[in-house]
Amino acid sequence: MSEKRLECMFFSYDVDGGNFDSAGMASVDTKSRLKRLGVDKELIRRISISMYEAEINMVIHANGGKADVLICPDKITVTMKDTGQGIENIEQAMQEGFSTASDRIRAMGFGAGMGLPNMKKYSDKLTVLSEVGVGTTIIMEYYL
Amino acid sequence: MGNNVFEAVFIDNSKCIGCVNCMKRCPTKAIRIVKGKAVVDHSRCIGCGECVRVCQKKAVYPNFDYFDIIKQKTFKYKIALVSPAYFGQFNTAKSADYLLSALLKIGFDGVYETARASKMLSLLTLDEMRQGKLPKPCISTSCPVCVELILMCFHDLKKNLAPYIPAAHVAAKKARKEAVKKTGLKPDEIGVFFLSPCPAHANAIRQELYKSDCGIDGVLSLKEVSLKVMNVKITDEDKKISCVAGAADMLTAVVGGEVKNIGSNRALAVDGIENVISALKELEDGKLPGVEFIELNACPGGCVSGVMNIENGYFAKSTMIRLKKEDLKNKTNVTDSVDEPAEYYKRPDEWQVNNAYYQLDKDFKQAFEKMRVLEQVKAHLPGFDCGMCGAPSCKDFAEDVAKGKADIKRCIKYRIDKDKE
Repeated sequence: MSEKRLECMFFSYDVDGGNFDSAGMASVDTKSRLKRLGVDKELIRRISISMYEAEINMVIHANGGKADVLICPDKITVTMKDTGQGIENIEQAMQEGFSTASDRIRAMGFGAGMGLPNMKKYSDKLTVLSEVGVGTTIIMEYYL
Repeated sequence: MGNNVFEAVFIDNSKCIGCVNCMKRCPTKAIRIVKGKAVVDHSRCIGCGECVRVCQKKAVYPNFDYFDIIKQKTFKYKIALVSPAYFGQFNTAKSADYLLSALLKIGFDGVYETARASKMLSLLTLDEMRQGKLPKPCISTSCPVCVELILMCFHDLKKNLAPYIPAAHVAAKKARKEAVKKTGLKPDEIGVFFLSPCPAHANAIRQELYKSDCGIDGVLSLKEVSLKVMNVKITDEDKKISCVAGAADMLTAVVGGEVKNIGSNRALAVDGIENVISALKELEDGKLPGVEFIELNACPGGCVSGVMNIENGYFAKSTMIRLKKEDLKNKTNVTDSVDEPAEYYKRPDEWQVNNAYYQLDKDFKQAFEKMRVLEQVKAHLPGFDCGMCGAPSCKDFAEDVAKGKADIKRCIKYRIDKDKE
C-alpha cells in the first residue's frame, strides 16, 4: 500500500452487452459508493439516473462497453465508452422521444428516446463523441 | 442519556459461543464478533429480531418491559392493547371473546384491539390516496422494522413513506380516552400496555421513531403474556369481553391484510426482510411503476410470525381463520370510523434519515480517505465472506478496517498469504 495520497479515486466497470439481467450494475454500485461518501442525495439521484441511462444505451445499442467513474473532491466524471455502431446524427439523438431501438427492446420497456436527453438534463456537463462504425464515448461531469 | 441509541436486543455473553449465525443473518450488518462474543452496533440495528430467531444458543434477548410493570400502584386502570397476532397463539381456544376475557384474569382491567385502529388507518389511507394527498407509491409505515430500514438504507424512498403512525399508537390514544370517559380517572392513572409480537415495536417507542406521543406505558412481549394466559382457566361466567374488531380484522396481522383493507388493485404486499430489501432496491431504481400502495412486513407471513409469538406462524394463521369464522357466527362486527381529525393519525413532522449505515464519515474529505483505504484493504481480502475475522463479509471487514475498528491481520487468508511471502 502506498503512502502517497492521490487526488482522486477511480473505479472501472465492464458493462456486459446483451445481458439485461445485469444491466445497471455499474450505476447501482456507483450509487452505493456515493452514499458511503455522503454525497448530497439529490446529486446521487442525478448521477444514478443519467449513468443508468448511458449504461442501458450501451447494452441496447453497442453490445456493452466500459464505464469509468472518477471521483475527485470537487467533481465526479463518468465516462462511458463503447465500440458500437456509433451515432449518425447526434443532434437528432439529443431530441426527446427519438429512438432507433428495435421492437424487441421496446417490448422490454426501453427505447423511449429519453436516453441522451436525460443524460443532458441530469449532468452538469455532457460531452458526446461518436463516429459511425467506430464507437461512442459519453462523458458526464457533475460538480460537487 | 445524550445519544438517542437504545437497545432492541441484547446478548447474554454466558451463552454466546461466538458463532457467525446472527452476524451473517443481520440485514443491516449491525453485528460483529469481538473476542468470541457477538456485539451489536445499536446505531445500525433496526430491531427485526432475525438474530433472536436464528440464534441456536438462545443467547439473544429482545428488550421488552417485564410483565410486573402493570402492577405499579400509579396505574388504577390497566388496558391491554391486543395485537391480532395474539389470537393465533392458542389453537385450542373456543373463541376470541374467551381469549380477551382471559386478559382480565391475569391483571388487566380492559382491552383494546389494535385491529380496530388498523381499520381506521386503512380507511384514512384510502381516502387520502383517492384525494391525491399521498405519495405514489405510498409505503405503509405499520412495520417499524421496514420504516427503520428505509430511513437507514433507502433514503430516496423516504418521500414515499406514509405519514401515519402505527395502529398500536392510535389504539393507545383511543383506549386511554375511552377509559377516562368510562372510569372518571385522570389520564395518567390509566396504564396502557401493548402486547407486541416483535421487539421492533418496543424499540420504536423507546426511540420515538414515530413521535406519536401515544402514551404507551409499556410494551410487553406477546410470548410472556401468552404463557400467562395459558395457565388461566376460563369458564363461561368469566366471559366478560366481546371482541369488537378482532374477528373481522384479525387477518391484518397476516401478510396482505392491509392491502385487503385498502382494497386497491394496484397494491402489493411483501413479507420477509430479504424480500422487503429486494423490493425496495427495485423501487429505488425506479422499477415497479404504477404501484399505489406497498405493504411491507419484515417477518415472513406478517406479524403473525413475529419472533415473540409462541405458535408457528402458519399454524397461528389457521387458528385465526377458525376463530374469525366462529366469531362472525354470533354477531355482526362494529367497524370504527375515522372520527378524529387526520392529524390525530399522523406523525407530527417529517421522517428523519439515519446515516449510520452508508456514510463512512460525516466529513466528505474523511469519507473520501476512508473509501480509499477501504478499496486498498479489499484488494487484499479473498472475498470468501467466511466470517472468521468477525465481520459478516470481506466488504464489511474492509469497511471496519477503513474506519479503524478492526485490524487487517484478523483476516486468516491475509495472514497465510503474508506468511508465504
